[in-house]
Amino acid sequence: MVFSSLIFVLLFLSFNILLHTVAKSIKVKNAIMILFSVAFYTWAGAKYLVLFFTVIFAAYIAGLAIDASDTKTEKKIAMIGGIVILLGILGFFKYTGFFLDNVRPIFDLPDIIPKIALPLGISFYTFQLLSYVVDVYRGDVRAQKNYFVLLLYAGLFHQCVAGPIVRYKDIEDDIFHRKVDVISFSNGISRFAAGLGKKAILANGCAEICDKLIGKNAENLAEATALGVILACGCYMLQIYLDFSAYSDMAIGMGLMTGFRYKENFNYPYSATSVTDFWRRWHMSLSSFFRDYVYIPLGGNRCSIPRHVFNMFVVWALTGFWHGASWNYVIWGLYYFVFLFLEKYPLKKVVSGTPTFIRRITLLVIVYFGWIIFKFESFDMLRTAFVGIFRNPTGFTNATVNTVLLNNIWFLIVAALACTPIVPTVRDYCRTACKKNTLFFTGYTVASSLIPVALLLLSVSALAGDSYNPFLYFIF
Amino acid sequence: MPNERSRRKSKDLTEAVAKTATFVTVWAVLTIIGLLWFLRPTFSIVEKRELAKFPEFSVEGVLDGTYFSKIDTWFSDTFPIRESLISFNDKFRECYGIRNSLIHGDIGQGEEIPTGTVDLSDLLGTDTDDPGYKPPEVPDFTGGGITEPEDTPPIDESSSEESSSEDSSKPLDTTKPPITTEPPPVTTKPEGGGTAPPETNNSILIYGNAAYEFYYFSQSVSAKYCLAVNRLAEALKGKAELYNIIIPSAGSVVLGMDEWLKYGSSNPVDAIEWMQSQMDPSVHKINPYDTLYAHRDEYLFFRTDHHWTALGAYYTYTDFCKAKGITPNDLSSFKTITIDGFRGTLYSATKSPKLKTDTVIGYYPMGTNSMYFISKNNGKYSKTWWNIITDVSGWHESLRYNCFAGADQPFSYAHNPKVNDGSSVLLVKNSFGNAFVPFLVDHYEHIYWVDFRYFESYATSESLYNACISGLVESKGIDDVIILTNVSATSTSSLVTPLDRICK
Repeated sequence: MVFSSLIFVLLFLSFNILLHTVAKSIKVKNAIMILFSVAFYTWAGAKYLVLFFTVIFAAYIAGLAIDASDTKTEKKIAMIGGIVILLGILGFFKYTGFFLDNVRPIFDLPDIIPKIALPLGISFYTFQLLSYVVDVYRGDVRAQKNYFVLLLYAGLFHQCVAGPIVRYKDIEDDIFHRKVDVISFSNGISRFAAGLGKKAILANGCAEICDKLIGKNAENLAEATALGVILACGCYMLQIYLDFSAYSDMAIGMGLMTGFRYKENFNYPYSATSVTDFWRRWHMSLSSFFRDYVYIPLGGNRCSIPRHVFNMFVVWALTGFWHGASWNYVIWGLYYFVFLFLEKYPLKKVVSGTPTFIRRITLLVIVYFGWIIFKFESFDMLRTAFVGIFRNPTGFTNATVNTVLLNNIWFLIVAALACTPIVPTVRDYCRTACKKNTLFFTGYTVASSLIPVALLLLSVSALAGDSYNPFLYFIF
Repeated sequence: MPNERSRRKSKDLTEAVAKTATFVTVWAVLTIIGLLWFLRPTFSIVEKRELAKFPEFSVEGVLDGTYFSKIDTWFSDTFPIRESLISFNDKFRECYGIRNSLIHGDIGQGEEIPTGTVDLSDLLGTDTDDPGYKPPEVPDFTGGGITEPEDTPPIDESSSEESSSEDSSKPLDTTKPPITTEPPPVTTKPEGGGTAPPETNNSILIYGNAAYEFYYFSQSVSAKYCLAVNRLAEALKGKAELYNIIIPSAGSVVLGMDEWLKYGSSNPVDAIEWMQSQMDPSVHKINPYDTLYAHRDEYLFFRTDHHWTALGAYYTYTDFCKAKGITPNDLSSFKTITIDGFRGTLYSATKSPKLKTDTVIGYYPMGTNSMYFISKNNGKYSKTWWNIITDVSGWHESLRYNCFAGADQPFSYAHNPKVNDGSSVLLVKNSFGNAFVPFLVDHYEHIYWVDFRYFESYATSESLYNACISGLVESKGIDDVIILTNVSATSTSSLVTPLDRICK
């Protein structure tokens, strides 16, 4: 089940919110959230529940062991034990195929590489539990004695699909003392509707245009014109932000409707002025995870330059690897390592002396090509994409590409604007201005009530067509 | 200041309450609609398909998640107001950009059209016979007409035809009632099924007020088509004359080739010429492009459907007459019927409000309007009497191309009592041939037509004609065989394969 499906929006979530709202005690509310979260994971395959419960149990025991240990060494051993188990399980499910793929050419073994399905949310809940174990070790949080509380923390369906990666200390209080008032509920509605609209209308629309322009296989990509490839990759750049941030918006919105306050995960990264700034704005919960649990323990920047560069290298290689078990993700991570290194050392003065506008454009160009690396797991397709942009044998454009562009020109402009802070800026301005005048305020209230409804209806309409495929069964 | 703060708080509260009340109301209504299981449809007339069924429970499905993903699909596929929501979404998408012309679906790319003579089997590539191939199932027929009683032998078409040929002076059973063509109820499936191969691809250009299906040439499938025609030509040598007609894409005719090719479609004329150049010299080849292009300002192709109009079929019929050396009937000599309000397959696919609703004009054959076809009724083949031109104005707006020749049936027959020379023709066609049939009727005494998608299934099931065209030709003593299809079909493996299997 994904958030952007009719069954989730119109059955699962509506009943979850209804039951959570009518429940009186926090224990019942928590039980409801646990039941719905377990149901959510079951939906992706009940056999993975064993893994899900086991991983949480491992972190639970590690936390208790750290808490119960008397000496620093014992605590450390318990923490390392917990980390090894958690990373071992993640590594087995996420990276076994990749590892064997790379080993086989050298050792000629194994004959058959097992296809191991990636259980839903494993990257996210494992990282949440890692942070929990380390935080218990550091003394930032007390170990949780109740397994089901830890289950609720790690498995809450809000953030298991695409984050944000929530720290236990950030929602511990909400688990036991959360309250929902009408203002936070209505803010949750706005946030969820905005996320749903971003996903169902904008991100899916960008994906459709991208597929239309370059297809889904190497042959179609090779036959695309230069403008077709450039536009398609631009659509992918919009899609990946809109898609990813939409899930965070929906998670934050659902959290607000049920009393959980999650930290922001995206802060308009495409309006950043440097690569460093970009990574302060993109998937912030992941960046801060690597900062707090890898970069700083390695020594951060308070060390020699070579050591600092090494620390950065490790963090960005791991960041890339976390995104997927394929070399292109590692290269994508190291691509950013190179730019971050340049910004921090050789080009530091050049960057700070460059006008902001130029820096923004430069950043967008860097990010654009970064997403091309990210998109194509196959190096052949990656090469074809670059050839398609710079030395396209098919020509610059054709009537089809021009038509697709014109057909979607307003849509693409809206999608691009949705990647900028223009919407919240306008909304805040209107809110402030309208509050000074009763008539304007009434108009603002009507508009602010109708916009989420409009987004819900438009999203539901877009999702209703997901199974619409009239040509599959033509009988004339 | 405290007053100001409390006023602001009050405004925030007002805004929050208004927003929450509005959203929750709409959300609740949609949720309740989703729960009204008795309103969930099982068949979509617009998409012409069975909607997803609620999955059967299986432990394995629960463990691997497939059971739940099927529930996801069922929930969204059968959502009670789904078609209205899709229609609303389609209208909303009209404001996505400047849409004077519009590309719908994926952009494809045709393969290079070869020139000169090549070894066709070299081009086949992987498109070879599949040992596990199953012919498309014949869909159940749910229209009106008069069906033989169930207790009659399953199929008696051969005996009835034999009796008519034995005594050709006797007018065929036109005494059989000229049909009560009750429209199939709009809420039921038009022709059931869900296994028929797709006749069009999903790439469409909307240009002005009309939609055009793209054509992407496939070397292997086109080669297979040519090999099938050649095999049939070999089998028919000395027995019957073989004609091949390939209809070019509507866009290439109506928009003109230069404009059409700008959008990346393969050149249908090059493809037709190449395919026909690979065919056995004994085959009479007809490429109607020039004739159709000369009349491009007339109403040759539907705007909302992938088929041609009867007028397009008429001009192609004049080319056929030329090839056969007979004089075509003048268009003005036919009585006509006009059926408005047709919105066909391309409208169903795109839902574009730009598309102008079509009008179906049927030309009544002068010899007879009576025919019968063999169709499946409740899983059994039986004979149904019908009209060659049927008034389908009461049928669903998407079904009005069914006006022609009883639509897509595995076997159909008409006897023309005004011709008494024993002449006979067999049209091997897909749905494009339906509009062609009425014009053929007046030139032969016996007119047979088979839909190549369903013929094998029928003939195999009833153990007839060795399940091949030459078997049928020998059985009926047919003089002329015409293979007629649109050019897109010749590059569609799921259509050429059933043709290939019966061309022997």
